[in-house]
Amino acid sequence: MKVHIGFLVILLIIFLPIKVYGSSESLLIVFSGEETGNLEPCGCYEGQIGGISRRDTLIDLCREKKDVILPVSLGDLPKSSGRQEEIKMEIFCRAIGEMDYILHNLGEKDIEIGPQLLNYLSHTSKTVFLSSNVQLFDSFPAKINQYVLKECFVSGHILKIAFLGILSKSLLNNSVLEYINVKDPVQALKPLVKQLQEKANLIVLLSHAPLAESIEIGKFFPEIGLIITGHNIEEPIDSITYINNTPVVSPGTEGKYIGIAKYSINNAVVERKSVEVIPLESKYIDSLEMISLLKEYQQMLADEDLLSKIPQVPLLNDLSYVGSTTCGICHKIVYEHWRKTTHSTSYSTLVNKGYQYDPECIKCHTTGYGYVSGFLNYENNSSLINVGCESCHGAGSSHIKYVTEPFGVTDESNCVICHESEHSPKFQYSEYWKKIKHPEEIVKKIP
Amino acid sequence: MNEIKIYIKITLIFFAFIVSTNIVTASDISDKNISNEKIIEKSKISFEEQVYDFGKIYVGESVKHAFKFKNLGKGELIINNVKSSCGCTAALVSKNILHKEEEGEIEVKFNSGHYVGKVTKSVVVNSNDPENTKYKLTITGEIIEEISVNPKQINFGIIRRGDSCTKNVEIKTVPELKIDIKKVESPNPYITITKNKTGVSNYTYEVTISKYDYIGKFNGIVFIYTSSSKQERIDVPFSGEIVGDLTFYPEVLSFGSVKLGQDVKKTVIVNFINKDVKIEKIEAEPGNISYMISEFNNISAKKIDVKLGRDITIGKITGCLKIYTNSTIQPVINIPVNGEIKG
Repeated sequence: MKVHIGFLVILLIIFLPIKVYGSSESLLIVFSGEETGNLEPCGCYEGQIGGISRRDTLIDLCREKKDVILPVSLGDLPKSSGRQEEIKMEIFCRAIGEMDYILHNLGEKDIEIGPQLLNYLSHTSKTVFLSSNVQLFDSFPAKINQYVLKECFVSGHILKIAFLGILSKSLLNNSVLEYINVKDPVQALKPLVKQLQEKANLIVLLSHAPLAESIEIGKFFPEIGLIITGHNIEEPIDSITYINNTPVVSPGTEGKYIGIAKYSINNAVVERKSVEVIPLESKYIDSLEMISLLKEYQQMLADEDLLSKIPQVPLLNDLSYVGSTTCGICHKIVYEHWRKTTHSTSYSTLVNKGYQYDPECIKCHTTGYGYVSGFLNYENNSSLINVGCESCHGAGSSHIKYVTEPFGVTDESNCVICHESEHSPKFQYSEYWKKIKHPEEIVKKIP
Repeated sequence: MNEIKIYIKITLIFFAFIVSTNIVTASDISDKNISNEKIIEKSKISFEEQVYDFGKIYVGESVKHAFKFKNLGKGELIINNVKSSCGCTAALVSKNILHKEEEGEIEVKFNSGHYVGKVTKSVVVNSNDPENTKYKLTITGEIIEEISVNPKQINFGIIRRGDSCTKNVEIKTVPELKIDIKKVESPNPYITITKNKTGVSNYTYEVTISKYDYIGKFNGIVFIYTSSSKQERIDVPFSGEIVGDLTFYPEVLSFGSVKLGQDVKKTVIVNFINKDVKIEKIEAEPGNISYMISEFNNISAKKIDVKLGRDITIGKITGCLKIYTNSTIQPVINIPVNGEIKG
C-alpha cells in the first residue's frame, strides 16, 4: 500500500503543473519628488491627483504586505522662497519623517529656501538630508550626508543599499552660490561609487537633474542599478527609460505620483522585479495623520497672519476697490444675479475647507488681494470677500465718480488669471461665460 | 507481475486525464478564436498627425487644434473617452461611433496661463481599436513673453547690518515689437536702481538695498513700466534678511493642536554671527513651558528645546520665549509661542 501511495505522489509531482512561489518578502524603494509646495491637491476641481495624505496611505498599504520599504525623496519640497514656502517645507519634512522616509535629496528649490532653514531642518528632521555634490558654507553648517548606506533584511539575507544624490548645476541660480559649494556631479560621484560598489548590493542614484543629464550620468556609472530622476516630467508613467538594464525613472511633478522599484533576492543576488509609477488617485483614502498635519499647516498660516504680510502693490492710475455692494447700488439687477453665481460664494468655499487664511487660495477667492485697497483680511475688508464685480471689471473708484466714462470692458484674458491650467483645466470661456452671463438692465440713474 | 500491471494502469489513467484536459482547453480556445473572427470585425483608428507643434505663442494666449482621424477598419470604431493631461482640454467634436471610412475630430485646446517656456501636453484617445486602445496625441510649442524679466523675484539673501547688497535684473524684449522700458522704480526708500547697460532690446538694472537698519526679514516690489499694452507694468517682488549679531529659527513657535498630556517638543536654533555674543538668560511665558539649552555641533550655535509642561490645561496657548543676550543691537529676542491644547 505504501508503495502505491509513493507511486501516486511521484505521478502527481510529474504531471500536475508546478508553481514555485517565492518568498512574499520583497524590497520596495518608494520614491517621490518635485512636490514644489503641493502638500495636497488644491481642491479646485474633482479628479485631482497627488498629496501627502494619499501617499501616506499607499505607503502603509505597501507595508501591510510585509515588504521592506525604503521611501526616499528626490528633492524640491518647496516652490520658491518666502515664509509660506518655509512653513510648507517644515510640514513636508515632518510628513516624510512620519512616513519613515530614510532620506531627502536636495533640489535647487530646497536650497533657494535659504541656508538658515536648511540648517535648521537638517538638524531637527527625522529624515536625513542627502547630497553627494552640494555643501553649505560654514556660517550655517547644515548636516548633509554625501551618501546613505541602508542595511535591511530581505528573504533571509542582509542587503546593503547605497543611496547617492546629486543636483545639476544647470538648475541653480547665481544667488545661492553665495552660500553653497557645488561640485560637478560626475566628479563628485566617482570616488563615492568606487567606495560603495564594494560595500553595497545595490547603488541607487537620486539625480536631481534634467532627464538628459541623468542619462549621461547613468552611462558613466554602469555600477548604478537605479536612477531616480526627472525635472518637469509631467507624465512620468510614459517616461521610464533604460540605460542598458538600469531604469531611469521620474516620480513626476507636484507630488502627483509615487514611484516604486521592487526587488527580490534570487540566489543571494538582488533582482529587480518591476519599476512603476503610480498616480495618487482618490482611491487612496486620506490618512488621518496627514490630515492632522495639514490642519496644523493651515493653523500656522492663520497664527502668523500671513495674509496681512504680503506686500500690496498700488493699482495703476491711483484706482482703488469699492466693493460689490457699492456696485449694486446702481447695477441692482446684475448684482442680484451675481449673488446667485458661484463667484459670490467663493470665499465661503474656502471657509468651509478651513483655507481662508491661505494666501495662495485667497488670491482667487476674494477681490483685489495683493493690491493696495484690495482684500487683506476678513476683519478689515469683509466687503471684498468673494470674486466680486471688480475682480473682472477692475477697481471701481474712478467709475463711481465719473459714471459716464467708459469702464469695465473685460474679456477671457481676465478670466484665465484664475481659471488657468493648474486650477481650472476644464475652463472653456464660452461654456463658463454662460454660468455668469449678466442679465440686461437699465442702470438706475443717480439724481 | 500484478503490481506492475496496476502501476501501468494507473499511469495510463493519469496520462489520459491530463492529456484530455489539455485537449479540451485547447479546443475551447481555438473555437472561441474562430467565433470571434467571424462575429467581430476590427476597427482601426488612424490620425492624420500624432504631434502638433504650435510654434511660439505669447504668455496668456491659448491654442486650439483639431486632430482629424478616420476609421480604416471594417468594424465600428467606438471612442470611449478622451483624456487630457493637466493644462489642456480635449473634446470629441464628432460622434463617438464611427462606421468604416468615417472621419472624426478631436479638438484640443491649451491655455498657456502664466506658463513660460517649452511645453508638451498630451491627450489620450481611448477606443475599441484592438491595436490602439490608447492613442496618444501630443501638442507642443513654446510660450514666450513680450518682455521677460530675470530673475522674476529678487532674493537679496542674508545681509549683515550696515552692508549693502546689489542684484542685477535683466529685461529682454522681443525686438520686432519695439517696446520701451519707460521706468524702473521702487517705493522702498532703501532701494536704489541704476541702469547698467543697454543693448538693442536688452536692459540690465542694478537693484541695491543699503542703509537698512531694521534687523529681520524685508520684502517689497520693484516696478518696471513699459510701453507694451499687454505688460504695462511688471512687478518684481524682492525679499531678504538683515542680520545683526545673531539669527534664529523659527520666528514663531507654533505647537499646533496638541492633545492634553501629549509630549511635544519644538526646537529653536540660534546662530551667532558675532562670535562674542552669548545667551545670558531665557524666559518662557506662560510658566508651564519649559526649555533646555544645549550646544549645537559647533560653538557658534545653540539649540533650545521647548516643551509644554504636564500641568498645561485645555485651551489656547499664547506666550513668548524671550532670549536675553549680551549683544548691544539684539539684547532681547522675542519668539511668540502659540498652539491649542485639546481634551
